[in-house]
Amino acid sequence: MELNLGPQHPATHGVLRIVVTLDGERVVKAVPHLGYLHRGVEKIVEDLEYFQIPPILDRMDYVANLNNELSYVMAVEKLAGLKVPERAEYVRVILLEFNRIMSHFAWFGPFTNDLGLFGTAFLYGLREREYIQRLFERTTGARMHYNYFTYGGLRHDVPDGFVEEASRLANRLPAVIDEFEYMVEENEVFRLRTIGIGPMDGQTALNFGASGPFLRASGIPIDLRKDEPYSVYDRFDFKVCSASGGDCFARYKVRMDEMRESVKIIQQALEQMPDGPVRAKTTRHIKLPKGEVYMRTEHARGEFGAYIVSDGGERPYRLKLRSPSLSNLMASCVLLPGMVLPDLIATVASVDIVLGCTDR
Amino acid sequence: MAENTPPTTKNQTHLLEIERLLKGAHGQSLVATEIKNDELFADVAPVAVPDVMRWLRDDRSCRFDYIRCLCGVDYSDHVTVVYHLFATKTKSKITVRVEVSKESPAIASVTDVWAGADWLERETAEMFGLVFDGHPDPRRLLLTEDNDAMPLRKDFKLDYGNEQSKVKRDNA
Repeated sequence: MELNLGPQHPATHGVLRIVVTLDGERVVKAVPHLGYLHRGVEKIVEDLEYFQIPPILDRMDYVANLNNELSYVMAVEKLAGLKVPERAEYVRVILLEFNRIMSHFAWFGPFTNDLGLFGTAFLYGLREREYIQRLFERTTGARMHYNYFTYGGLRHDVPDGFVEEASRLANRLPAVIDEFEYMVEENEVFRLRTIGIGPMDGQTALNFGASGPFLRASGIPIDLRKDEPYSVYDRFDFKVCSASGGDCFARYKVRMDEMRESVKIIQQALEQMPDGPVRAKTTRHIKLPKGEVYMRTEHARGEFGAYIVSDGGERPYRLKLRSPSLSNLMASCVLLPGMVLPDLIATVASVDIVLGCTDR
Repeated sequence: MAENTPPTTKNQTHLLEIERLLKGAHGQSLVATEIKNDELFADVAPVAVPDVMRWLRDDRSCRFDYIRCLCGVDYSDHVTVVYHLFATKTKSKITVRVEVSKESPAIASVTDVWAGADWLERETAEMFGLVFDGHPDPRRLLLTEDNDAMPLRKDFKLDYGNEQSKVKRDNA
């Protein structure tokens, strides 16, 4: 039997369509179809000036927006030779890690939903995300599409009371993460539907260009924050979380552990954050020297890359955006044949894809 | 701290070593190499792509086992396919650039070297009108099957607003 899963299906987390050939409940073949959210971002940006681009990047991975902006602004900074003030780097790190936690919360809720634990964990996840979102709203002025990072630093300084509110939130989070674990980890349904489901070994994941929590759950501890430190990440004490199972449970566990490490980073950054300007002296209409640069950062979902080719003008000649969701989805699709259908849902959900990012 | 990785002599020497080995093994297929901003760039002739790529993955001192990014850039007279590779053990990286002419836009697929090139090649193919020879599943990825527009080529111009303003709502 052929089953058309998506593009409008709550369990595909966006407009992913998978044409599944079934034999009874077993998946014989699964062919993913992408492009329902393709907006031609890479073409549109060729007509825009450099300062006009971050708002569009916000709309790619709309769950971890700030992480998208970072790769791009860092690529521009590298080509232009701009030095970012210390304070801006610290604010960036704090917000990026909060953004990562938000993104994992927004994954955790719907993931449990897909497993049949309807309601409770979903709403807990979104509630906690909401608290952080309020901090972002106060800081950047927007709930979702922040447009806060700019080459040379930040658009404006953080509001009064930012440090107090951020540390209050950060101190609260470990207990919240414990509560989440308590909620699902001993749950019979959750264990049955995640442990041993959709396992991927490290070599295959690597060969497919997978990255982020998906790759680390397969036992390969690659984290760009440690391996190729950017911004001020080399000043913080945190560890790279990995798990050996490679299954849905390992992917869940890695994200939970990772959030604790993010909290540690935030706390250290809040302590060390200096005063000073948040933006380097630069003009709005910037012209980049001729050249090319590929800048990659550890996004909530993996390696997010921005490859800028400049012809010396004030618009990028070419801007390629490397999407972690795309590579991770590609890797996970080889797992699908041979599964029963409900496991397909669990596996796709455990990858944590955002279609705005895969389709661009 | 805008700089990514501070130029370490260790990394520099490793890149020089790779450059030397690459020249030794595939000297005749290399158009040019350069080390800039602590990164290695290699321009490779299109016919040599399968050999060079396999060598980059398998050679003991290279081991570029991870494909980060594959994309095209349209330089009016030709399209350049750019491969960003990463070695997970040594953390070194290399950018390989291959010029493909627009008259015969064919280049060998590297999906058998890195499985991760699969969808990236499909996307590059549809966006630039290239053909990746030997690709196991050369369907379009993001565009619809009947779309031959090659949107990321420079002669494809976006028509802001005008097109939309022409489309009147039929029922209005």
